[in-house]
Amino acid sequence: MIGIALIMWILSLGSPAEPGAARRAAPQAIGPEVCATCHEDLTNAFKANVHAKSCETCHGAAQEHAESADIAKIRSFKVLAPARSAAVCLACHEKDKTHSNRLFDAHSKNNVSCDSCHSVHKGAQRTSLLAKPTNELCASCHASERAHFNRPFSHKLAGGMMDCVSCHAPHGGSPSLKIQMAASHANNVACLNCHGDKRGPFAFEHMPVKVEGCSGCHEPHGSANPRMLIRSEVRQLCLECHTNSKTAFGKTPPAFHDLRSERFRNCTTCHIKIHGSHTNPAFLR
Amino acid sequence: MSHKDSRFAHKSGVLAIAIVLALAGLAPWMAYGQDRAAQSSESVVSGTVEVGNRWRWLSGNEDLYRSTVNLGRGPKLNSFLMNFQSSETSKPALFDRATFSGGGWGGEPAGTLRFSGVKSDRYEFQVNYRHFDYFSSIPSFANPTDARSGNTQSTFDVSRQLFDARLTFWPTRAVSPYVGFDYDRTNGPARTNFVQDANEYSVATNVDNSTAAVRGGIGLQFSRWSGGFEIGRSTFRDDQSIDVRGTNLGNRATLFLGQRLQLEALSQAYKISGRDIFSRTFMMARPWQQLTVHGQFLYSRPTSESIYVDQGSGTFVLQNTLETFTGEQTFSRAQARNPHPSGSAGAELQLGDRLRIVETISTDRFSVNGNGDTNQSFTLSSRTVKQTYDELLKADFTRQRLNVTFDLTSFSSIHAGHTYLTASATSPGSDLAAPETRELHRNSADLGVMFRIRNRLRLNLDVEDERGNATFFRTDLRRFQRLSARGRYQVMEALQVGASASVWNNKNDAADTHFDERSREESVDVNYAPQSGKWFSVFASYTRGTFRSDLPFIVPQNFQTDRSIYSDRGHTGSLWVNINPLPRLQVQVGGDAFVSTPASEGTTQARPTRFYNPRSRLALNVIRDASFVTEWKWHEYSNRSFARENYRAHLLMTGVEYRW
Repeated sequence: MIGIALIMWILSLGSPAEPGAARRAAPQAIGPEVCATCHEDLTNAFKANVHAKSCETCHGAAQEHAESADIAKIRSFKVLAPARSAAVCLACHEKDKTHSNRLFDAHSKNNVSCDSCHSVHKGAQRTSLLAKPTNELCASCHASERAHFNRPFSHKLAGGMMDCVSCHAPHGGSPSLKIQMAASHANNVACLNCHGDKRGPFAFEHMPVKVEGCSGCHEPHGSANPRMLIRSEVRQLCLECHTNSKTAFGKTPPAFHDLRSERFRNCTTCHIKIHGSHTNPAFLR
Repeated sequence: MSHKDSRFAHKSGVLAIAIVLALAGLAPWMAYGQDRAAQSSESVVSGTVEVGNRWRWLSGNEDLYRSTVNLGRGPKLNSFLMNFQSSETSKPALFDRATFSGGGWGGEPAGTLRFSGVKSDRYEFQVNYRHFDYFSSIPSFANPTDARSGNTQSTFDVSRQLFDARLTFWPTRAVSPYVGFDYDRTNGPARTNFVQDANEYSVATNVDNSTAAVRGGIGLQFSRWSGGFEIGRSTFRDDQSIDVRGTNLGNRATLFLGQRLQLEALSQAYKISGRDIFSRTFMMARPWQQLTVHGQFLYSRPTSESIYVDQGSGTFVLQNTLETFTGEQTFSRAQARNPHPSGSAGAELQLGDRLRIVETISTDRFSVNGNGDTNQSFTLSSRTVKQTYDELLKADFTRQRLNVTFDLTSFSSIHAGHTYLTASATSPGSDLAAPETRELHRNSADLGVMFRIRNRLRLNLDVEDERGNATFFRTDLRRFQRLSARGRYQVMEALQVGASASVWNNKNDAADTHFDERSREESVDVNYAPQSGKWFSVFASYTRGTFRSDLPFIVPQNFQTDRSIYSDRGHTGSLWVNINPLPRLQVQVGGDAFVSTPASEGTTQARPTRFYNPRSRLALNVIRDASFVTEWKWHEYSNRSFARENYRAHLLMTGVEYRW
């Protein structure tokens, strides 16, 4: 009963998103020429835009707004709740292939609206109408990730070689991958798009590579470690799992591994095929 | 390590510049031709090109410079962009609008060429080519005391090329078939180790692998549902080879049972071929206005086959029998299969204008079955080692999630969610352990609020708590909590301030683990651009990250327990000042700096590093369509633990940017 009452209460609340708009009588469309009389700069900039059909497709019928010049009499995305704002865009774009994983999208979960990234009237970039170049746009919220790219060993974003969306799917990645990751060959991580030699399958797989993914050992944005590892020394990373444990996978290496010697401090000096080997179970060749 | 031929880089830079300048010269004529052809046409051909020459002064370790920055000297084609946009009246044969762009040519470590063309309501064609030189030679990463071989172990100087093309048709609004082709290749010289019992030998090798994939699919869009499928096939090959002669004393500095172990000659060949078929089907429907349902199925089935042969001579030893021998031959064959189905389904229910409920379930299952045999024989010994193996790695993950979002007001919302994960994994076993299977169940709850007041203020606060009954690996999440906040405030038209902070910790208190891991990260940035940055703008940011992990482990040589304590504190700062003192002059000054130190004194297992990159750029508009551009960069790298890896590099580039 409480649940039903709660749902009834929620349904009775109406829209919080469009103040003043819900109780209007059905307004009439006026056409883009009338909009241009006040918003000349916007309509001129809009001419080369892929959305250049009619202002009222997104902003709703504008007769009342045109008569009163009142911002409350039109659907303004500046004051629209993110979910409502997204709903307007999704009315057309929900069926796009890029949105096929929308229900798994962290941006959507956190109510990041479409216009946070896309400048619908005039994007800085020709494709996707992004408000800024891709990397700059992502960095405007993900500041600490931007900082990681200033470390000495990082994926090189400069020069247009790659950008954030080379690896990430901003509209939601396949749930079988790590969150917001783009895919390679259906359900493999995007890392393999460039690092194809790590794809395998190998006769001898290094289990964490397949089960944990690349980020189990690597910090992909940037690191002080030359191989972008999450620890500064290789042995540190390896021995954290390679210790006899009753509660987890991983066993201690044989006793000839003398950690006091520099020779044994980087495990991958000998275990050269650490991502997987076709011939050797210890990944030595 | 051989360095790339600088004369080749010089010639390729000159050639790239000549081609693009020729195209740039033709472009205005092309635009004029378009105008004439279409009478009242407004077809537009526009673009930019920036060319220049770079000088470099380097002191310190060049290999480290090449491993981190690698910008070279000589003539460069920095960037170019050409746009074509047809008028409404003209009817071009192939494309209504097209873009051709690229940059980084002339021996640069990364270069691109991209083309995108669209014929409205008919098709779209995209081609991308990227190449980058991937160099790494860092003594401290391998055995820092290995000076006898004269080479750094684990080194490579490879080139990677990536190409992809895609053609999408729009025969109707509802149906859009497409085909695509991807190709990548990595090749070049490298150094690797030939590992024998009690010693390993750094040897020159040749890396050469490539992947080619074709794919095709169809997208469907109807009034209440949409969907599509894709199917593709890829082939992979990897040919590594080694052929070396001469005495190599290897990585072992001491005698073994009174003998010096050494390699005299080695021939090694690794031939790997792989195939994969992959497919994806997805569907989304909106049966009622309030309900959206989603379903997806993905499948891939990569397989591989390999043949490995090596023949080595020298003085070697079998450690478990203490026998010495003067040569060994290995022949190995293997194959592996990796069927991998994944699926997901979900529903979104919109109750009124305020409440949104999303329920999803996803599953990911894969297994890798590898089998084959290895034959190893030893000269001057009757001993042979024959191994036949049949390995199976298996993992299943199923994740269910419920997320509820409620709009409190037009400018605030709250969301809460619960995730349940169940998983099992079977290890393939190895020389060290028998196969074993583990299962885990994990629950996670999260809560978040969001405020957005027009475009002036945006604030997100999130908290997450995750608990599981077990882990697959000792460092996995078990008792995990995270708190994060992110905000951005437009103080005034010209001033914007952003800040973010997150803190998380993870504890695995299983009896033999006691893993404790904490991370904190804070970031703040300021952007000041009066009059939209017409005369002056400043951007500054600072990020501090602290990470600490503490985990006991067993020391292999004495089976005593020790602790792996890793702590790291990174400070990253950026400052950029843009000044436009004259209408024709633009000056940019600033740079980035990164300093890493152990987060707590006494921690030795960190890599204290400094990496500075100040730079400035000046652009002077000498005539209407051309600017003189000069850029100075300074890269400085220092590692307190390995001072011989430090370097400083000054780079000066002057050039011209031309627009039409």
